[in-house]
Amino acid sequence: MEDIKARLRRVLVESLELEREPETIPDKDLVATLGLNSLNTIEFLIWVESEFGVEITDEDLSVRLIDDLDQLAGYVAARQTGAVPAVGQA
Amino acid sequence: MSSAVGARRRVVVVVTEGATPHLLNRWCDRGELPSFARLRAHGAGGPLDAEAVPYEPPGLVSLLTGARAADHGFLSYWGVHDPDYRPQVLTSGQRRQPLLWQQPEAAGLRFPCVGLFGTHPVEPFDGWLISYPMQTTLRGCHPATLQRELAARGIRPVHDVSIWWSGQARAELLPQLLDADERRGRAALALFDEGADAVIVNLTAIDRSSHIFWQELELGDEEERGSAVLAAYRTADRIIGWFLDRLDGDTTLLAFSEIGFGPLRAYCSVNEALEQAGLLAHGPDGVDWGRSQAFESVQGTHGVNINLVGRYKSGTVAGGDYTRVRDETTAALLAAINPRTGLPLFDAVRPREEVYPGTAVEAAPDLILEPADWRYLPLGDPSWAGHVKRTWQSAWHRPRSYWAALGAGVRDSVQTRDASGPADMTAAVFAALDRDIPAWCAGTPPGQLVS
Repeated sequence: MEDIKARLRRVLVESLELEREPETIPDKDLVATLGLNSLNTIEFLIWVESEFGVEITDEDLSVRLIDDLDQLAGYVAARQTGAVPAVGQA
Repeated sequence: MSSAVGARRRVVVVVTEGATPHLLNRWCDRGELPSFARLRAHGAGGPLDAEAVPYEPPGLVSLLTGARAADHGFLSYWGVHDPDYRPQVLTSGQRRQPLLWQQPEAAGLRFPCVGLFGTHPVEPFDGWLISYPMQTTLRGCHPATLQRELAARGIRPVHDVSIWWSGQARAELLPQLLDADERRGRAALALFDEGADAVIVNLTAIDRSSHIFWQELELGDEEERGSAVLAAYRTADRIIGWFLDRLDGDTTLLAFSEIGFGPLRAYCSVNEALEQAGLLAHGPDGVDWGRSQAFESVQGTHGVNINLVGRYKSGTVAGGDYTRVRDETTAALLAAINPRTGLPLFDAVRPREEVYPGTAVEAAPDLILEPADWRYLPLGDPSWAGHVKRTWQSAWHRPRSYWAALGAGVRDSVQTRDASGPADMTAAVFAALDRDIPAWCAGTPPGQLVS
């Protein structure tokens, strides 16, 4: 899971062109900390799909999914194994 | 500009959604819009009229399919007749006609299309598509890698509805609207440079800013110069300029808008007029469908639906009573008075078969309203009207807009008085590509465009 989180941090920096080191990105409160909005969230998640070779369904899109790296990493991990995670239970 | 014999022809279509002739002329004359002025001075052009009610979906889907609204039936972003009285977003799977790049006559041509309603969900093809989803989605591009490929070049297009107007400050909203157009323009330009044959891009900031900030135009010249609406026209002008700079003897630029714009004073609830006439009833939770015979259709259609048994889950009007109820509804609405002006609300109330005489007539509301004063317009289905904060708007569409073209196959400096229609722009695309106009295309290219 830590490996996925590290890759997610790197994808966040690259996709959103953040001027900060990946390891400085916290686990929680990403929306407020990074200024995630309806525009850059889509960009980020498209990169996540590409990076991990998973599909994030439109039904799973939520603030909750992107606000918490543990949540998102769990979702990605479940997708990679073919499971269908429920957001909030990943 | 002459085309080399046998050279591959290309076309760029820039939809400047909402651009209205009188503002274009005024600001061209003042030197505010050099690219539009260049189109006007050196190219061909003329008026363009919406087919019936001026709304984005009917015009854009006509461009995309070559069909009249009467035949494609996409009269709003939402379907007109939902059994549960909750209009649903129309999807590409519900289109009655293929998109023009799906037609055999477009074989071998590579189309990029950026931001046009009627294209979502995406349908794979040998080209590039940034669709127009009505909800947050990661599936708005074809190929799926397109967004990341463009991002690698520093281009990050955004979907129109990603920028949602919820009362945020102008200083926050306007830059987002302008930036979104710039991003779409850059994406279209990159795909043109990639070798596309026919680029279609929709710039929406003029429409969006006109809806929200039109009141700034009513405060005199000084305020107008700093207005959001002019800023949006300038952005479109700059993007058109990028393509004008690419014009050569084999490329045509076609710019148009499917709608014009004008001021709005108020949206008027047609349901209120129907209730006063005893044709609609309210209960504690809103409209009492079981006691209503007619109700206002979804926004943008200027329509009224008859609550027909079999079409709606709580239909009250039997098929045999349809004509009588529709006639009674017509009479009631013609008698309705606008309380804000003391004058009639509607100039005409027309049956759908008269307004949309085509194969998709059943997708239309039963009655279409012609406003007596275009500053006072039908509110539309109250649930969606509330959701999009419709009553905050200070302007809405008008039927008359414009088209303009410059480049290969265009007779220079010719302006026509006869109005074209959206489907004529489809024909113009094929003419600009030096292809025969397909038989399925309901339009004809404006006379100044010769292949």
